[in-house]
Amino acid sequence: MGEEKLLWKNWMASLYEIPGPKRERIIQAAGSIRNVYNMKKQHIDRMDMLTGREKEILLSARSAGPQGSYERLMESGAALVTVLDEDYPQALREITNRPFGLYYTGQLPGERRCAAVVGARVCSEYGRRYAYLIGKHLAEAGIGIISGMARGVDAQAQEGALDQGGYTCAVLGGGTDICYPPGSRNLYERLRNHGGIVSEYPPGTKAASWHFPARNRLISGLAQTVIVVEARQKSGSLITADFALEQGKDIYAVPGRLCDPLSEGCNRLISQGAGIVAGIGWLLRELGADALEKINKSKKRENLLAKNENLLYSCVDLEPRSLDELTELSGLPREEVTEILLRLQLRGLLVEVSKNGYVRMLSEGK
Amino acid sequence: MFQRVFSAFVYGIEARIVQVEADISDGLPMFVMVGYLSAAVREASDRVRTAIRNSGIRIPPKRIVVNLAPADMHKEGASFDLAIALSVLAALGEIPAEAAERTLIIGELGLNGRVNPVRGILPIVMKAKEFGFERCILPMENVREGQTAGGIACVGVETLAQAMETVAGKKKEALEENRNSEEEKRCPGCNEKEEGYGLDFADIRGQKTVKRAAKIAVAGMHNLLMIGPSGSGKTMIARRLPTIFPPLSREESLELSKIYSVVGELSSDRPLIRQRPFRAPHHTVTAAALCGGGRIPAPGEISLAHMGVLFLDELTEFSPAVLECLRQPMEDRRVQISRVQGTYIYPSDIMVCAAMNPCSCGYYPDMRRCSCSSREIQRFLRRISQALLDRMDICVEAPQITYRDLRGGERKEESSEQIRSQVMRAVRIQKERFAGTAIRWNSGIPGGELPDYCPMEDEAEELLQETFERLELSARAYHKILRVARTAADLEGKEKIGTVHISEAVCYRSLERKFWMR
Repeated sequence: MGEEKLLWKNWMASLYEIPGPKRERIIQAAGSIRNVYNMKKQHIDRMDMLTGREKEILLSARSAGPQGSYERLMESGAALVTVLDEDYPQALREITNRPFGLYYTGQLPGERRCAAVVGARVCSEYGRRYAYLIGKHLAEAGIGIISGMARGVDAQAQEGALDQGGYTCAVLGGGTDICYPPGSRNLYERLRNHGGIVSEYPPGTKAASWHFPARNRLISGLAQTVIVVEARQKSGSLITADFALEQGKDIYAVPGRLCDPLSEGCNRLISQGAGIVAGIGWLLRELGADALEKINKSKKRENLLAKNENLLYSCVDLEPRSLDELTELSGLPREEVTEILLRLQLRGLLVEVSKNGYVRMLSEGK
Repeated sequence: MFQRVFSAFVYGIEARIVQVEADISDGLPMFVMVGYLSAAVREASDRVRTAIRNSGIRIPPKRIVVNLAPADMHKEGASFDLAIALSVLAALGEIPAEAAERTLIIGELGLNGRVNPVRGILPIVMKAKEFGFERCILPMENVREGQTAGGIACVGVETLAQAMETVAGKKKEALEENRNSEEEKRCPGCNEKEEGYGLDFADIRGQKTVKRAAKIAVAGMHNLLMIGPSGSGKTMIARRLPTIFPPLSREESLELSKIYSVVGELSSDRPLIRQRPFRAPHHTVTAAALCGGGRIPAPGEISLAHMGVLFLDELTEFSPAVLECLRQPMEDRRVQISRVQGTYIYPSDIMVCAAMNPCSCGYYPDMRRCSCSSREIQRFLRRISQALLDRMDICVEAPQITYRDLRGGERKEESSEQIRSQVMRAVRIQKERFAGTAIRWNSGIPGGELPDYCPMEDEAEELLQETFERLELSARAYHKILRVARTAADLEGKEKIGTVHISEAVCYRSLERKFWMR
C-alpha cells in the first residue's frame, strides 16, 4: 500500500458502520482507498464479505464524495490516525475488530503504559473517592489513565490524574468535538488541553446508545490493565471487563460489601478470577510501579485530635450520616457537634456530600 | 329635591369613601345613575326601586338622578345598594336627610327589601373612623366584623325598613346595645379566648435538627427549606410553625383581618383573625392565585399568609414560572399588581417554608436505595432556580425517622409554648436593636450593615474566615451565615456571635448545587 492522502483516509475512516478489519480488506483488494472510491458498482455488488447494508453505506458514501467529511474534520481541529499509519496505537493493533481510524484531540497515549479505570455513573461516596485516589496515584507513578469521561467513577479517576498532572485520555461514544455528557464541560476542556480525547467516530457524530459498548472495547484496548471501581450487576463496566478478558488484559476490581448492589458487579468479577484491589499501594506494586512511601502518614493525625473530635470522627462512616444520627451516636450536645463537624471539615477529614450528610474523607495512602 | 348620603367601596385592601347624591325633579319618569359605574353598580337601579316598593313606599313618577362622586373613580361591587336607596328616600322626604350626615351606609339589597352582607367591611369601617364618621349602618351579618375596628358605632340592619328607622333615630337603643361590655369597648373582637392552634411541637418525635432550624427560622424570620424523603415529618413541622410565632398584636391582627375581609373570609363567628395564618397552596397553583390577580385584583396566597407562613410542599412540583413570581414579593414584603384602572398593593410579609424530596424516589444520596439516574437527579433540582434557592436562608435535611425516635419514651420533646417564649425573647432583642430603622428582622439586615449588627468574637471571626476560604463560599452565602448566626446568638441572648453560632449557621447554609452535580 502506498501513502494515502488524508482526504482519502478520512473518507474511509468516516465509514464507521463497516467493521474496521473489513475496510482494511477492501483496501487491500482494491490497492488503495482511491481505487475503492472509483470502483464500479458491479464490483462492489460482487463483494461477498460485505452485507447488503454495508454495500449501501459504501455506495452512498461514494456518491457523497470525500470533501464534506474532510471539511468537517478540518473545522473541528481534530487529528486522525489510521491503521495505515505508523503512529496508530500499538495496543490497538492487537485487538480484534480494531477501528480503522481514530480521531483525537490532545495527545494519544503513545508508548506509555496505561490503565483503564471504569465504574458506575451513579456511584457511592466510597466509589468516588477510590476512583479519584486510584487515578491520582497511578498518574503519580507515571501510568496513564484511560476512561470514558462519564459522570461518577470515570470522571473522578480522570480528575485525579489531571490534578496530579499525569496523562489521561477519554474515549467517547461520539465525535471528539462534542462534549458528552454535556454536564462535564469542565473535565472535557481539561482533557483537551492536558490529556487526550479519542473516538472512532468522525467529528460531528452524536453519541448514540449503541456506540457505547463498541467504545468500551477501545477503553480496554488502549490499556494494559482494567480496574473496575464500582459496578452494578448489569453495567457497562462489565462489558469493558469482558472485552478486557477477550483482549487478554489484566482485570482488577475494587471489592465492596456483599449487601451493596453497587458492588455486585465487582464482587462477581473477583469471584471469576479478577485481581482484588487490596489497597492502592498494593495495586501500584502489583502493576510494577514503585509504591510511594507515604502510607503511614495517617497514623499521626489521630493524636492531633481532641478527645471529642476523635469521638465524633469515629462516628462518621463512608456512607453519609445526618446531623441527628451523629448527635445520637456520639452523645455530644448539638452545639458541640456542629462545631466539631465544621472544624473536621476545615481540616479535610470530613466532607459534606449532601445536605447535612457527612462522610469520612479517605486518607491518601490507604 | 337633592339629598346625599355616604358610602364606600374597597380598593385593594383599602376603602374609598363615596358620596351618593340623589335628585328628584319633574320630567319623564326614569331612574338614571351616573358616576363611572361598573355593571354591578348599574344594576342597583332595579334592585333599589323594587326593594323600596316592596318596603311599602311608592316612588312617584318623576325623574330620579343618582350620582356617585367622585366621578373619576371606577366603582365596583354591590355595596352601594343601601346607600342609593336611602339617598333616594331622603330626596323623597321619607327620612330626615340631616340625620344621615356623618353616617356611612353599606349593604346590598334584595328585591324584598332585605339587606344582604357584603365583603370588605373591616377596611371600610376603619376608613370611616379615620374620616371622622360617627356611625356605620351595616348588614346584620357584617356588624360583628365592623365592630372589631373599634371606636365607631356600628349598627346592623336586616331590612331597608330597619335602616330607615335607624337613620331617623328611632332605633337609638340598638346603638348602645351593641357596645355593652367594657372588654368589648377596649378591644372589640378580642373577648373570646384566643383560639388555640390545636397543634404542638411536642407531637413531633425526633427531627431535632429540623426543629432547631425551625426555631431559628421563626425567631429571625428566615425562610426555611427542608429536604428529606416523604414521611419524614416535613409537613408536620411546617404546620406547627405558626404555634411558635409571637402572638399577633391588635394592630397586626386588624391589618391581617382587613385582607381576609376583602376576600370575604370573616364571619360573625370569627370577626377578627387572631391566629398567624398558615397557607399551603397545592403545587398546581397559578401565578395569579399565588400572588394575587384577576380583572379586579384579589389578594393571592402570599397575602393571605401575611404575618404567617406560606408553605410550599413538594417545591419541585411547582411550575418554575410560578415560583419566580415569588421573588419580588419576598424581597419587598408586598406585592404590587397593576391594571389599567390603577395599581393595587397587597402586603405579603411572610416566612416562606418549603419542603422537597432530594430526588424523585426520595432516597438520594443513599445510593443503595436511590433508584434515580444521575440525569434524573439533576433534572429534579434544576426545576428550582438558583435565585429562589438564594432566598432560602436556612436549609436542613429531614432524615428518615427511626423506630427509636418514634417510641421516644424517656425523652420529653419541647412544647410549642416553651419554644415560643425563647423566640419571643429573640424578637424583643431584635426590636430594640432595630428601633428607629426600617429593619424588622435579622433576615432583613442589609449586607452593608452586617458588620455593625453582627459583632463576632475573635475566635468566631477566624473560624468564619477559614470556612469561607476552605468551603469556597459565595459572598451571598457569607451574608446569610452571618444573619442566621445573629439569630442563633439572639436566641441565647448573646451580644457577640460565638464559634457555636457560626458553626451552626454554616450547617444550615443554603443548598449547594454541587450536591446534585456529581
